[in-house]
Amino acid sequence: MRQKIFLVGIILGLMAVVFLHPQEEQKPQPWDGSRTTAVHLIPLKDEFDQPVVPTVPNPLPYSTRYTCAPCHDYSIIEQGLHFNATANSPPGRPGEPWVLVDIQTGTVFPLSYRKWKGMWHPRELGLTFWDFTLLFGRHMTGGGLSEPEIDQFSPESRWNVSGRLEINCMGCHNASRMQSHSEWAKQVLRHNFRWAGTAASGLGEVGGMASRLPGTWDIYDGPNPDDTEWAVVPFVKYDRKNFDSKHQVFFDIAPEIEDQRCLACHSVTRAGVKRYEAAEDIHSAAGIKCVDCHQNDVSHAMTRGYEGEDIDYQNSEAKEFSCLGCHLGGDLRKKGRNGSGRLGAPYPQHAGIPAVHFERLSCTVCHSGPVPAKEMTRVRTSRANRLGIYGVAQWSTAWPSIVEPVFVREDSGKISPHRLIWPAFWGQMEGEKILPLQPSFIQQAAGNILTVEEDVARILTTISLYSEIEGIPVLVLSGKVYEPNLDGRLDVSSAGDEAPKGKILWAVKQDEKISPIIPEFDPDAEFPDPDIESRIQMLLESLAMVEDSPGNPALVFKKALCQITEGYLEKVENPEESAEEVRLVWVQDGKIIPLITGFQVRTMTALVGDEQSLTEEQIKEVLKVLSSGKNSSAQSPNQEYFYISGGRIFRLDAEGNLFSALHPAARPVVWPLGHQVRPAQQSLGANGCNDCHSAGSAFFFAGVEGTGPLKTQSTAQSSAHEFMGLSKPYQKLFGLSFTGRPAFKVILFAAATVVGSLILMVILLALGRLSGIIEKRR
Amino acid sequence: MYSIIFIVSVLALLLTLSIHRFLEIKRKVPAASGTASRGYFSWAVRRVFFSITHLNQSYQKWVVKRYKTAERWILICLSLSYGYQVASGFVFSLAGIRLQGVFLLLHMLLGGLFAVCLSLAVVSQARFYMFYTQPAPRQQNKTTFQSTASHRRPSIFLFWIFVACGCLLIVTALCLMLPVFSLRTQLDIFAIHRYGALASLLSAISFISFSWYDDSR
Repeated sequence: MRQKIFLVGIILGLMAVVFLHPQEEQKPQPWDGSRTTAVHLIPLKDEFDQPVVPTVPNPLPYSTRYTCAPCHDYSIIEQGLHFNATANSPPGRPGEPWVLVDIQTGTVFPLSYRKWKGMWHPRELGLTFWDFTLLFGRHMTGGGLSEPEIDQFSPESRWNVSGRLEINCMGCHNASRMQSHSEWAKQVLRHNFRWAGTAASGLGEVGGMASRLPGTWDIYDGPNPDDTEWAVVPFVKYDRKNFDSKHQVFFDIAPEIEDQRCLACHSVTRAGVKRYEAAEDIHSAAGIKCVDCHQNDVSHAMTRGYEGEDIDYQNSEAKEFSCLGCHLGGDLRKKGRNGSGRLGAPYPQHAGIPAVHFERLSCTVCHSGPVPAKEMTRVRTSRANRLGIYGVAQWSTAWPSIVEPVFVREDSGKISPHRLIWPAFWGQMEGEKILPLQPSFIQQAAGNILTVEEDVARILTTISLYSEIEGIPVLVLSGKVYEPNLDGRLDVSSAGDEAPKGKILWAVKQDEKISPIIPEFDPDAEFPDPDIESRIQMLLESLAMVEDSPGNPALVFKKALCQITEGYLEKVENPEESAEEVRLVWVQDGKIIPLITGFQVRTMTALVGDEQSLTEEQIKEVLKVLSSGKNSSAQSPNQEYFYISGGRIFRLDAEGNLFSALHPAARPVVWPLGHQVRPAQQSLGANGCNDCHSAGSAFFFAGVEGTGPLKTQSTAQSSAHEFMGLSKPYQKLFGLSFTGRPAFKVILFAAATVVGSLILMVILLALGRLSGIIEKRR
Repeated sequence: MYSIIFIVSVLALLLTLSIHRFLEIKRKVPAASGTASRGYFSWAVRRVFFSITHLNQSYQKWVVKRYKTAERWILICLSLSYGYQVASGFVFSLAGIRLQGVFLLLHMLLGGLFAVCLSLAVVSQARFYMFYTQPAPRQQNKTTFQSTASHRRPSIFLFWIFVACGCLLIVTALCLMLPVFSLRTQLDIFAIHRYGALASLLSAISFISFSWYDDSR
């Protein structure tokens, strides 16, 4: 009997192997030598490796892992440069960090999973893969840390709801103009990770928001028929005209990736310039594509194109794609004589440039980035400043403040141009140990110390929403008009000469005319103006709707205090001194509090309309709150809170006063720049040695001033030469020597002429004597 | 490679000149120097020691008495600028370090001084270093002067070698400053500058040695 059961078991097992075994996967084929690109008419597969049929109800988004897998080995691709930040791969030369920006808390925090100097590991800030993907997924390629294994899920994460953010293959390879980076970013911000690739590629329309779904939702749960308004389960409506009768889709794969695809995440432009003013890389202008130099094979190990990459990544081929590789043909001495480098790259003559420059400077010093000026050039980058996300709603792209070119001596000993960012963050210090704090922690701790602008905007917006007062409610303060905007913040403009100075005036703006929100009235009148009374009532009722208000709204004028009692406007005696003008206040337990405090007035006047988002007073107050331990769970007596901005660390002294100092943690973070490459005629040195060597040289002595979200005079001041490790007096002297160079050359020329003439004469005389001509003449 | 050539050539020259001098002295005054190689070394040490301890006398004898004030200053400036250039150039070169910083700045500035002094020195001294026979001074009969000129021939030859090397150094330095030559050409010019400097040093050593020898005869 047992034998029979065993036999049946074996037969069943074999049948299972034969019938249930999935179709044998196609193995990746080596390149056959054809330079054409295969037509990508392929069936879509979902994340369960099942075919996507667009006509069935609720189809799932396509999965690149399974759709591309038959031909392209996903497991190899995901080890590529764009996906392997968390893997144990060589860090190579520093690259651009991910910059966590939080304007409200004044946080500008450079992060990287790669071990790059000066950059913080996200773990040090307590960021999980989930947090990181939410913060930066907008400009990430997917895969790697945004596609974690189950054992890498952090407790607070919602991967089960959002799905994993697979590699967005089409984000780079799609030649179709339908490929939308903005759509990718939008879906990531909605936590629609598994849908993002489908939406961005234009294959289908994606609706719903995973961010609004409960944390218990799972893809197996399907749509929620009870909620079609708010917590709508993400769905995809495939554009059926993209599919053929076999449910195959044509992917318009570019033979070479278009620059536009790269620039979605790698754009760098000068801040504040018009589009047509933005410099273009000379290589791009010449028709060379990004991928002509930044090449890769299926491993997606991109060539970064810097000197020394071949050593860093143990990849000898990388050498060919550096500046030297292309322009010198790999060997300065041998090949250079006979021609050019790759693709006929011009062989540089470098006439008149002393050889020492090539030993100590990278090519990019003279050829890349903006020409050095007295002030650093501020730039914006796609990833740091969140560029290239288009839509009706716009976000600020001002922060972080990145400047270039800062010439820094690298570990190799060569100087190369870098981009620079000054970190700004809150933290805790115990001895020498620095623990950065997350913005959310500071927001919670600081309360409304850091939300002055938002609080005032909320008051104005509430008046606008809940009262029928015509016009836009505004606040007139110190000759400026503060008006709420769509972002919940304030816009500022000049109030003109007629505005009252030194007064807080709540007003309305109508047809560009500003008038007090409550006109002056006689509070003691026996028959008060009903229009004014109605206006006061409307205003106070709307103010009562302000969230987290400290009391009930009231209006004081002279000896009268008007407030709403049981739905009616009640006039009582002002418990305080007679008010000379109409004032809006909060009444809390009989105590009168101004609608906005002096602290809020000072903060607003200092910051609104300004790039900076914090005052020293705010820093002091927040540090006091943090030090008091009210908002921290555990604090040891040795721990000290601080804020870093503009290259300095701000702390409280024993008396509770704010002081600042230089600190290693406040030092700027730099990373080398490669582009934009300028033509040879515009390179440094093209106009002579004085391009760099002069007593006031911008190359050596440009000022590098600490910048940050804090409005302060206490910032770090550096000069360009410090980053190069050069002596200022010597460079001044050396630069000065170039003023006498022309005269020096004349002297040398004259001396050479005199000496040379005499030598010639002596030679002629000697020849004359040898030939006997002189003796004959005698 | 350059360092090796430099060290070997300088040492060989010094050795050759000193041995030649030693043998000459030995030939003239056999009892003065002994016969063994030990005699040579003891002579060489004594000679170096003597030179160092009698610097002032040498200066008086070779410079003060022979040259007018202006010529003297030209010679001093030429010697000092050349000395610094030799020292800075060869020390950095032997150490395998590129000449840089203040040393480079001084090397360049004193190079200008060297160029000026060399041209002045050549203009003022050229007539004493001609290959043909000069008219004899009034107080000296022709026969004596001719015989002097003939035994001075190596010094004359070395003088012009030194001047030619100096001229080469000036020209190459000038060329390196002009925005004309490509990097590759500049590297070649720089090599010429370095080997020109070596040739200049060798000729200078030889010239000094022969001048002393000639004058002490």
